[in-house]
Amino acid sequence: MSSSETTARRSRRGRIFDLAERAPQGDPFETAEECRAYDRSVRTSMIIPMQHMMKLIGPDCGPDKDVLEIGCASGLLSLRLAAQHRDSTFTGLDSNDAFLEVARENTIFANLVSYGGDFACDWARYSRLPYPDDSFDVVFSFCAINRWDKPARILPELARVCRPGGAVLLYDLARDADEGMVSFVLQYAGGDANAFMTSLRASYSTEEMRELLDQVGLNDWSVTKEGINLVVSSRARDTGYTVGEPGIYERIFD
Amino acid sequence: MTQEAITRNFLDTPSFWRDYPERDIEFVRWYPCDVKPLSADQIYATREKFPKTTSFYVHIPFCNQVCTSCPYNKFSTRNTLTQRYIQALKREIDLYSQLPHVRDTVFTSGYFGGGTPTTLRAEELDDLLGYMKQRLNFSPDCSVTIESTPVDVDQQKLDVLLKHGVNRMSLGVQTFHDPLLRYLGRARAHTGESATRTIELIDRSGLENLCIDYMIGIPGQTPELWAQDIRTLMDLPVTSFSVYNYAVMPGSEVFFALQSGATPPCPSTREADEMYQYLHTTLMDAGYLALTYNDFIEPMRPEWEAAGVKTYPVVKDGSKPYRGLETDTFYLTDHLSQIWGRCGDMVAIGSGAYGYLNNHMYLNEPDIESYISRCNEGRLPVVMGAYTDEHEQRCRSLVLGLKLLRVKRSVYRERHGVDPYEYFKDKVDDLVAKGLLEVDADAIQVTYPKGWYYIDNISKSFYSDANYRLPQPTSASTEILKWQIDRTDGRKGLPLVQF
Ligand code: SF4
Repeated sequence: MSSSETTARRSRRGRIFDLAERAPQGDPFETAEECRAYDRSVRTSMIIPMQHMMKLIGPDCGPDKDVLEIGCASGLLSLRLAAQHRDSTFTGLDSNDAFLEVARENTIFANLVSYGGDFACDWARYSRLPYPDDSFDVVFSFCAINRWDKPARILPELARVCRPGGAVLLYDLARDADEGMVSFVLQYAGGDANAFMTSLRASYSTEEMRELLDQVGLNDWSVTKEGINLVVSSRARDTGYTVGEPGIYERIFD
Repeated sequence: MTQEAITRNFLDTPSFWRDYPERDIEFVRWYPCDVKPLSADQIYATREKFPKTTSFYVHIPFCNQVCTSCPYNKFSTRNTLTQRYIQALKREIDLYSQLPHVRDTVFTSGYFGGGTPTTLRAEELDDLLGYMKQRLNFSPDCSVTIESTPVDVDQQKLDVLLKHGVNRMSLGVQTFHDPLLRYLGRARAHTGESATRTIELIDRSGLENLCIDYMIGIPGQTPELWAQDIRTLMDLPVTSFSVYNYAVMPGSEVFFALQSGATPPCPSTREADEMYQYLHTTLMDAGYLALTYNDFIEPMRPEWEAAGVKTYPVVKDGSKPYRGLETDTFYLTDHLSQIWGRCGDMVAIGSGAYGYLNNHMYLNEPDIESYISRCNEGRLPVVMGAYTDEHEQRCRSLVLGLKLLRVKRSVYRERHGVDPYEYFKDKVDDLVAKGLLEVDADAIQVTYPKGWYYIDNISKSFYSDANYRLPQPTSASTEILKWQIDRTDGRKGLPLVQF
């Protein structure tokens, strides 16, 4: 390959999808029915990222820990973690009442089948959490940052309510994700392609997230890209796979 | 195979582009990939070089049983929809038969795929095939393939197919082991025994070329069960044979069954690779001939040899007696040769079908209802595609041609006016240095076993800049294509870069 062609190729990277600029979407879920649709998609097309998040945060969760989920949506992730860590307390917060309605439905169903675990959900404004400093051992969020309008005001709140020595872990889409993976998700993971791409477009790139954290004085938090996801952690952690390494499909079945 | 060659496998990490030494997991079958909205009028705006031969692909998106975790777009058989669909197919065939480009051409091969084309009733097959033969010119030794399953074909359908010159059937057997079929969610469809019975029925009917499809990567599959399946294959009256990867889709029934432990795990990456190697060595040791790295045909028969069928050595230094088949020398493999080797024209008929005509690769409307209405309005249902200029044609002949493991330089020169090695010298030299290709005066050939293992990496090395890193326009899921189409309609579009 000639060197000019190599250069041409490089400059074309990132050109399949129009993801250069972030396009905030706000909170796209208005009705409980829309939230139920999202809930179904989390159970199927988002199953791999959800399970991977569980693996990342699981070790921090028990025993006797107070765990807070910011933007718990339909509550699935907290419910599943709560069932795994029955001696810990899980609280899910969301600023969208429609989601809380679905989260309560899921909680009722979990109780019905004796799924187990201590989980409760409530409404809150993320930029002013209704808790004193150092209230939780673990604070996490899953695929929620892309819907926050003022993350610069929310991130310090998460740090504030987390106890010293505790863990904050935020998992979302990375707008600078590998495009081969994006097209893979679009073609094979099913679900609503439009919703996925809108969220991806509203999400932060690794670099933007780094800047945001530095801006609010959280310089020691780490940002890593993992597949199509962005992982923000209050302490450096091994996030697992990158493209080509033994990855989720092997680990998920172990 | 060297340690380096066995590194990663198919769906470990979901990505559609991997550079050597990572193995690419996307099965290349189409080129180019940068498809955009395209109409039939645009395809025929100018008349490009006239093709000598043409093949057809007819898509039948119906199945009797919709298998769990099958990624293909398909519908269960519903009478009124199938009938309306067949009517639309006939309208489309009519439209093509009036096009000068198609009217004056001869069909040397064709393929009915799906879905399961044999879910159509015998009368429907008779009607459709009869109509095609009446409207289009078929060569006397036209090789026509139809896909089927062990439960969707019976004597009556076979009679119809044979009457209309269908001479190859591709049967989705997957495995002969019943527990594995259950894990695949196909137990309702067939058992190892019913597959054997169907194969015998087809053999007795006199169909020339029966091909069965196997899968590697099924939950519970072990090297022992795989070895048994290979023995079964060699004992049965099966002419040719293909193997595909089984992939567990996230969130599918099989996925959850695996997680809950209800089904045993899938073979590991390593085991799956070893099953491939076992397959290759066992079959080729027994004299089977390679068509691609995943398609094989029975050992050479005297009547084939007499008819001029040619083979070439798979391992050039002669350390193994393995042979590959020159697909263009055999009418029974003409379809592969036409669409991949010669990169010839192929008329796409049916919803979601891909074709190549007048130097345009194109795709028909993937939505079945929109497809039907377009045909009924007398409009060819072409919706997307791409023009291939001279450079793209040269790329295409290697992207697809090398899938057949060998590209003859003289044939390439005749078609493109340049030598493939001279034209792509840097790329070919690079692949030779990596041990993936070998070049001599006659041909550019994929090395065995390393090049076979990296076949899709090799293929993608010849993508043009415009196609670099683009995913295959897949018919497995038309999601990406659908929203590209939506965009032009002014409906909710996804953020794609436009050029
Ligand atoms: S696997 Fe084949 S028969 Fe089963 S639903 Fe898919 S296309 Fe139809």
